[in-house]
Amino acid sequence: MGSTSTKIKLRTSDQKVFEVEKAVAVQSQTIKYFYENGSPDSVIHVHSVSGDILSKILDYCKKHVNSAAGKEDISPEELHEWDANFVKVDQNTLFDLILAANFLKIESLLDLTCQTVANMIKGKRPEEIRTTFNIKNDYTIEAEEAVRRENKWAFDMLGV
Amino acid sequence: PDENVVISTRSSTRDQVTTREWNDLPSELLPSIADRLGIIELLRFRGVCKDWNFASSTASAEMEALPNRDPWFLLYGENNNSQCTLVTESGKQYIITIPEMDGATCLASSQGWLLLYREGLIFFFCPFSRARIDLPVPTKFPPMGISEHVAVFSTPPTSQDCVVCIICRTNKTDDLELYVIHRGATSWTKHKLNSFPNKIECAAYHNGVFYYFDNTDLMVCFSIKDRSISLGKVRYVKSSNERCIPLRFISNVEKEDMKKRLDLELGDVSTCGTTVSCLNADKMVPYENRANAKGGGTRRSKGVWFQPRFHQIDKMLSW
Repeated sequence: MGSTSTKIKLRTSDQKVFEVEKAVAVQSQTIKYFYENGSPDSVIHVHSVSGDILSKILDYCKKHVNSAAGKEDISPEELHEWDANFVKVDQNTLFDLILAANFLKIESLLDLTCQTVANMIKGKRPEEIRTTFNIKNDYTIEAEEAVRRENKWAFDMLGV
Repeated sequence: PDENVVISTRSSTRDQVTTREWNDLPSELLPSIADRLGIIELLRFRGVCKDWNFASSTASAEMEALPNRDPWFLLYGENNNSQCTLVTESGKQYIITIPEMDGATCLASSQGWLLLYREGLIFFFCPFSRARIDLPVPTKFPPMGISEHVAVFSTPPTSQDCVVCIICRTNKTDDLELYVIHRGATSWTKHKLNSFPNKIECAAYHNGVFYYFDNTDLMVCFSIKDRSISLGKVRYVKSSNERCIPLRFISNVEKEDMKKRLDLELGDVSTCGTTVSCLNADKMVPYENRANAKGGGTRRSKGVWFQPRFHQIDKMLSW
C-alpha cells in the first residue's frame, strides 16, 4: 500500500492547496522533478497555474492514470471521447490549459490541447483565425499581400 | 512542512474574465500547433501574423503523407504558360500559377518534392513553398531531352544521403540508361542496360535499392551499395510470412477512382507517378509516358501525382 497512497501537496497561484495522489501528480514531469529533488513533505508551488485550471488538469491526470492502471474499465474509444469532451471549453480556459500543460510538462495533455487549436483553425481564413483567437495582424499591407500571393488559391477558397 | 520549492518564474495570475491574448502564447508552442495542420490550414496559418509565419517554418503538413492519404494532382504545361490546375484529395480544382512549371517535365515525385527537368536544368522543387534545389546536370543528357524517363529519389533532397536515380531512353534504341547521383557529388554516374525494350511503368525505392517495374512482370533493380543493375521477375507473396519488398501495384479499381476524382480531360497526358505510404505495402502510382518520342521540344500538358507538403529550405542549402 505504502507508496500508492503517498500524497503530494501543490499550492496554486491563487493560494489553493491540493493534496494529490503521487501517481496522479507525477504525470507532470515538472512536479515529478521537484518531488524527487526536494524534501518529500514540502509543498510544491505551481505559481503560474490557478486552482480552477489545476483542478481540471488533475481530473485529466486521474482519468488517464486510472485507465492505464486498469482501475477504471474504459475502452480506448471511450477515453478518446472523454478527452474530446474535456477540451470542450471556452477559449480562455483552453489557452490556460495549454500554458499549464506546457509548464507542468504533461505531454499527452499538450498534444490534446494543441490538436484542439489546430482543429479550430481548420476551414477558417486568416482573418477569421485572427478574430477567433483575438490576434493582432502585425503584417504590413505589402508583407501580407506577399504571403497571400505565395499561395493565393488556399486563401481564396471557402472553408472545407 | 515548509514551502521551500518554488518552481515557477512566470508569476502573472490570470483571472477568468480577461480575454487571453493568443499573441502571448509562448512561441515555442506554435510549432506544435503548426505541425498538426494540413496543407491548406498551414498556408493560412502563415498568413495570420508574423509570429505564426515564423513559427511555422519547420512545419511541412506532414499529415498529408499519413498512410493511405491519396496524392494530389497537378496538371501543367498547358497553353505554354505557367498556369496549372491543382486537384486536391477530395477532387476540388484550383487554378494556380507556378512559373517554374512552365516548360518543365516532372521526372519524379515523392513526399512533396518534385524533381523537375527544365531548359537543360535539373532541380528539386516544392510547388507551394517554391523551394528549389539545383542539381548538376548529366553531361551525357541529349540537349533535345529524354524519353520514357522514370526517376526516383531515396530520401527527401534535404537529407544528407539522398540519391537520385533516373532511368530513360536517350536514343531510339532498346537500351535503357540509368543516371545516378548522390548528394554532394558533382557528377552523375551512367549505367547501361542493353536490350530492354519494355516500358517502365512503376518505380520505387526501398532499403538501398531502386526498383523499376515494366508493363509485364520484369523489374530492373539498382543497388546503391553495389552500384550495379540486376534484372528480376516480380513474384507475389501468397502468405504474410513470406519475405517480400513492401510494395504493391495500384489496383484497377483504385486507378479508376483516381481518374474519376480528377474529372479532367486528360487524353494523352504524360503523368509522373509517385509512391503512397500504406500500412503493409506502399502503393505505387504508375508513370504514364505518352510522349511520342518527338523529343522534348513539343509543348504538351503533363501531370504529376504528389503529396501536398510545404518544405522550406535554408537559402544557403546546396546539393
